Amino acid sequence: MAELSFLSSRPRGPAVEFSDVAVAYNDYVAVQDVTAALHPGTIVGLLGPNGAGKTTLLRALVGVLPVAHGTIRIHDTAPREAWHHLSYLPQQEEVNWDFPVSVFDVALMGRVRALGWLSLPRAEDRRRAERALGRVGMEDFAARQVGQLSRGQRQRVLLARALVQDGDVVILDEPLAGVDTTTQEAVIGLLHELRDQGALVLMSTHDLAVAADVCDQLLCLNRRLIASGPTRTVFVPDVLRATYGSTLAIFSEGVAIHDGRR
Amino acid sequence: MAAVDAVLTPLQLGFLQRGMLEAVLIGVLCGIIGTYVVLRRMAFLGDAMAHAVFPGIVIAFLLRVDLLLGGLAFGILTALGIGTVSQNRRVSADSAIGVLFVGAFALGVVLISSIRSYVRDLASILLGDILGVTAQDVGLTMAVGCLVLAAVFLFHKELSLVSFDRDMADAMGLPVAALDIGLLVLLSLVVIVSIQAVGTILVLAMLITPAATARLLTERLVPTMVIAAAVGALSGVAGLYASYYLNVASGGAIVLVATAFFFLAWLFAPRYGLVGRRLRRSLPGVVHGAVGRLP
Repeated sequence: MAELSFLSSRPRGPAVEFSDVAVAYNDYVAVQDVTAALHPGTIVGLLGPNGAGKTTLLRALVGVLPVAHGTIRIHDTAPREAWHHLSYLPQQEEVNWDFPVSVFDVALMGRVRALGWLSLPRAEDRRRAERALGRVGMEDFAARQVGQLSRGQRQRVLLARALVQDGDVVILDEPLAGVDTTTQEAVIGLLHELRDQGALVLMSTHDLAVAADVCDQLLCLNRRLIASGPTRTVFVPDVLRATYGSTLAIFSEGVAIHDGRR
Repeated sequence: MAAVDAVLTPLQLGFLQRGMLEAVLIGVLCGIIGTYVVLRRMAFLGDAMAHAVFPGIVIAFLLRVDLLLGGLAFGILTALGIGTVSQNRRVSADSAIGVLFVGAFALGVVLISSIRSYVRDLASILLGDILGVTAQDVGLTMAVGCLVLAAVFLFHKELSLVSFDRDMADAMGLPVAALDIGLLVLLSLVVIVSIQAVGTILVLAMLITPAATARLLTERLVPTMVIAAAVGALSGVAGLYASYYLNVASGGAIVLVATAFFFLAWLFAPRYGLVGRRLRRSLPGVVHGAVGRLP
């Protein structure tokens, strides 16, 4: 498969390195003290309550926000030079869904930067977009206007666009938030596929059950890095309580968060 | 034959020929740039731009330099000013736009009031004078038109990505700020050449109305632009004829025709018009299958 072209030259070191990173909006430090190395071929979950700085950290990682302190390296380059390594799924709220583009158009947007200025998509780019839509089960919707889709379908279209980017560092901001079961299963299946192909998958999530089940490693965040490491060592009551504070209830059969929304 | 004569007779007049050509050019340009203004919800910014270029045009008029240069300078200054002033978090972007565009407009009014023929000059800038355009004006509009069409065509994929999902465009490393400023420069160029024809007050309608009409008729970006351009051009031509035969103000007539097109689409657009939606609601079984699934 052409999408796996990055495998042949898979770098050895960490795919992503945070060194004492702090990110701020104006004077407000949203997140700080983040140091972690994330390696290819793993699924890393980013956990934390609302306002913990998960989205902020991911936006700094893709180079949309500058770091206030420390450094972020993607395959040993600065985020803004590493666009060709990245596949990115932003939160749906940032997207202008009324914009008159089709599902296929959106998938094809994953190629905009790789194509470069003043060049038009070719047959190969269209095939990539078609394949990616097939992988997320949206090929029958290619001609639809994106605004007409359900939340779960929109999520799969944005995921297809991330696949078209063909990066080996896959950054997903809340890929499972508010989606239907079909979409959840499709997304989780894809995460495993990408990991098995050697990609680093970094996703933020509210869903502790999925995080414990799917992720190889966890980063626990609450305005600073609380803990990081393999899921079995990090996913323990003490760490989760330190991350979520008193909003967390731990039951013998599982975990629930009370953040006022449920 | 009378109908044909009614169409052809005005075209034998030189000033009307130029007016028609100018109206078509402006209709097309405003339709295309207006599509971005509507889709990116920049209507207020479009209005701001129309007022902000006003002092530039007055200063250029007083100094006898090119109106386009003066207007463009003020358009860019105001766009940068809005960005700078709204850096202060207690001043929202729309407040900054409101403050700066009315401020700039007031500067224009103060400057123009120093001229003796003040009322007539002010009226011609506020309301436009499409029948007074010179061959040079038409040439300038054509040049601006070529530039705008080339930019919109060449940067189509970047402009549509940044308008659909700014964060993603930024994450991909596209220069989003430069793309936004580029779009604002194109907008101010189109506004300036349109002011000669329809005036500061009515130019907003030429930006918004044809694009909003097209929005009711299609779900694709390029067809939206094409329909908006067609509605703009048709409104220009029909409005000028109406203005000639009824002896009313040309700018107002053009905008009224465009407004009529908008309400026709609002009522009768096949999918999104009022009548179509009512019909579908009363005949769900029949029409649903025929029109296709709707959310």
